[in-house]
Amino acid sequence: MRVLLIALFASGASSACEPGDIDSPRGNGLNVGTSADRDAPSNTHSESHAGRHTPASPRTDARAPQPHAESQRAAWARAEALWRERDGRAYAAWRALDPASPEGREAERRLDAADAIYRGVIARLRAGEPDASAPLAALPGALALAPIDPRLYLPLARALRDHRPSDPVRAARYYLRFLAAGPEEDEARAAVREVRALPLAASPETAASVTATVRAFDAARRDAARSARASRALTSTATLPAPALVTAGLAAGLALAALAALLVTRRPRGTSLARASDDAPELHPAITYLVGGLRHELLKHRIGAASDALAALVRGEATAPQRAFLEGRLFGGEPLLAAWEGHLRAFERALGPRVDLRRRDRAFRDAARAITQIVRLEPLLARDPSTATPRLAQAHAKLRAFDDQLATLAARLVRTRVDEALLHEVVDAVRGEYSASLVALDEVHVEVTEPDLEVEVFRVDLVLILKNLVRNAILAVGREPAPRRLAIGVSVDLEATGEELVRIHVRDSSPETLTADAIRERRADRGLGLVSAALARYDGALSVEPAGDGYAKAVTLRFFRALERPGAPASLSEAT
Amino acid sequence: MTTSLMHPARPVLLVIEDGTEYVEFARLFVGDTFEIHAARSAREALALLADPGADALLVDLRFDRAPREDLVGDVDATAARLFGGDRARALRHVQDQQGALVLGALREAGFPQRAVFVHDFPPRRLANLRGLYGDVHAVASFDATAIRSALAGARRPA
Amino acid sequence: MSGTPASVREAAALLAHDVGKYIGRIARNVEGEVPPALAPLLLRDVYETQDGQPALARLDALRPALGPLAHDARVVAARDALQRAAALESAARAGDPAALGALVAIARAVESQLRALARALHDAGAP
Repeated sequence: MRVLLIALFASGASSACEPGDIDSPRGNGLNVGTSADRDAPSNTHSESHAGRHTPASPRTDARAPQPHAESQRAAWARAEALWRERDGRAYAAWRALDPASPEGREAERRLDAADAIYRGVIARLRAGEPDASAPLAALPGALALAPIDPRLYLPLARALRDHRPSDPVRAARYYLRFLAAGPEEDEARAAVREVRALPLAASPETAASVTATVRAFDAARRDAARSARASRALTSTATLPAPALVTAGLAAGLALAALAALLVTRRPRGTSLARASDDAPELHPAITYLVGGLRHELLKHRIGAASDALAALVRGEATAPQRAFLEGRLFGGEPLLAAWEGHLRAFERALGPRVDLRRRDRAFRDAARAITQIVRLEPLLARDPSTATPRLAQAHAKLRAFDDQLATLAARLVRTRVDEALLHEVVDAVRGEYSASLVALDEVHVEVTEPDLEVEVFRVDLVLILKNLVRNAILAVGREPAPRRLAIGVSVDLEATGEELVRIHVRDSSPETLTADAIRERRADRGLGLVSAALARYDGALSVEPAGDGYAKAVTLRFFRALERPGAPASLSEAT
Repeated sequence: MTTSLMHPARPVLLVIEDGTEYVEFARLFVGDTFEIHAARSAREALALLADPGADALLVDLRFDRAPREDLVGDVDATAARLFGGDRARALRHVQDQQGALVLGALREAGFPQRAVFVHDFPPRRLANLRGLYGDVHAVASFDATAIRSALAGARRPA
Repeated sequence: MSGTPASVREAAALLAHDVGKYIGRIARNVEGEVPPALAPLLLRDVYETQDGQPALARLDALRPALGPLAHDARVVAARDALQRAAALESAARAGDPAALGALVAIARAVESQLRALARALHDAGAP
């Protein structure tokens, strides 16, 4: 079996990146065994999380001092590349940077911020929130910041197992990832025991992976024990302590097995653009840029520009210049297929294995077909226009529809409209939660007066933050006698710099004191700790002020207003 | 033809930046039309506007090299007001937007001269700056032709 | 030079300003041969940018923060161009007119690539 696993490995297959999941480690080699390989963080990092679950493992501090700024820059570039490729060594590479260097400081800052979110997710799962999806919704934000500490896979797997019993597959995956990261023997054994006990009958693929892993683990343990016995038999004074052999053999076997299990789990390599976009907000700037390019250069300038001429052709009224124009746009210049292919490749280069636009994105597949159709119609258009024209119009219409789909997708990216619909959604969602639903609110007031207000925050994150604030407010007034009042409003202010600030105020009538510091201090049990981390990512801020008009306080979120893109033409119409 | 020191024949362009890129650029590409003066802070700019005065301003937006005491804008107050007490973030903000804050200080002191930024602003941001500070222009890059256009006809108040 | 950017957009904006804007300062406004008086300034723009770093180094420093766009065609093209500029440095510093001319073309190209990138990132999808 091990030979088979090694062969699978050597074939260069990479583990699939599953949509919606945290980075799956794609080991390019064994994430195994010797501590020298592991570039482990120093113990001070684990100590800073005292009280939380950390594996008890002696690790060497492989963070050698690197005084040379050049090598730090190069190391940072490498570490970043590993992270982008979702390589399992990314975390160690980030931790290995010298914290005295700017790169190391940055890495540390981001790792710590992301770490807080991951741990917050685990804590929230454990705390058993009524809103099932909320804790996990924070994961994309953390993923966009920094790689996950592989040691967190086990507590995450356990938290999922215990508090999301309806989703054992997810827990199983994190168990497998933990095992693939080459853990210490005791924890590996516990993990194998636990993952084996998950109810996976309804998911045969995952069950098969787990079985394979467990079998490999048992085999590795037997082999290691056998060779330990053999080596003891050979030499009475063994130079290597037997447990080390067992551990090394175990870890090697496990890591191989778990990695192979991930490979063998035939998950789709990539998904549609829309799905990848929903699952990975960190891709949004790239997607915006790529979609913009595709729409502008191909869909607008070639397809869109030909619309009028094509319409005339369909009506039978196209003049010769119109026909020439149409032919020029569609068939002239760079061949349409080559241009399309160029855009596709740009998407693939930037977005990597997360998207499969050729096979798993219906919209892109249909568009590719339409483009092929158009190209094929060129000779027919000359020979037999009456047949060719309606087909051309059909293909063209498909591409217009594709353009609309892209526009809709683009509108969902990191930009959220702040309006009453958003605020009502938040309030309704929170009021539907168990604890909040028990609170008899006397007044809920929601108002947004400024139209077209947008902030550069991913909608899910903004909703997450607001829900936390609203939940807090409702529960706070719930602890007070009537009248219990809640209000959410938005104000926009102009700064002396010409920028605009968007402030979302959540007012409540509870006299309970709440300070911004308490919120910032990340008291995860209140869920507000996640708010801090999310805000930092978006360059937002939070403050608490007294409020009047029958409200006791206002918790205010501040963002910079998102403005349309720069585009002041170089030749000045401004000069007038 | 005599030129008095008090009333130079050419209009004066006051360049406000914390480095030398803009001044060099101005001397090379608009130095035929304008007499070029330089200020590294609001304080220096105010002094030069008082004497010998200026007809237009060429302003850099980001001042990341200037010492903190030369910056317009109370970092601590900004931290408290905007960034939840994060003074590092507030300092970065004040540095990144320093040109606009300097312009604000100059307007407050009563100097309405045309200001040209070399910065790619979103249209709404530029409109806001105009609403606040009157005669403001922006050119996206060091485009000499465009900058000359923007400065054309600028004159200090009589 | 402000700290590390918080987002891809910010990184692209910094690239456009720290590298793009300044590299084009002289190059944009030169037609034909580079006048001897401008040559040292052009050299500064390309090889010493704002804080003494060559534009290439600044681009490399910001590239990781671009995330998935670090390998984008425009960024790669800008980087390739800056590497060609690096190869031209001794000839350009010696005053070779061909090298200086090539530098002008490179600087202009880099500026427009980076600015286009920053603008495109700002675009919410409307063509």
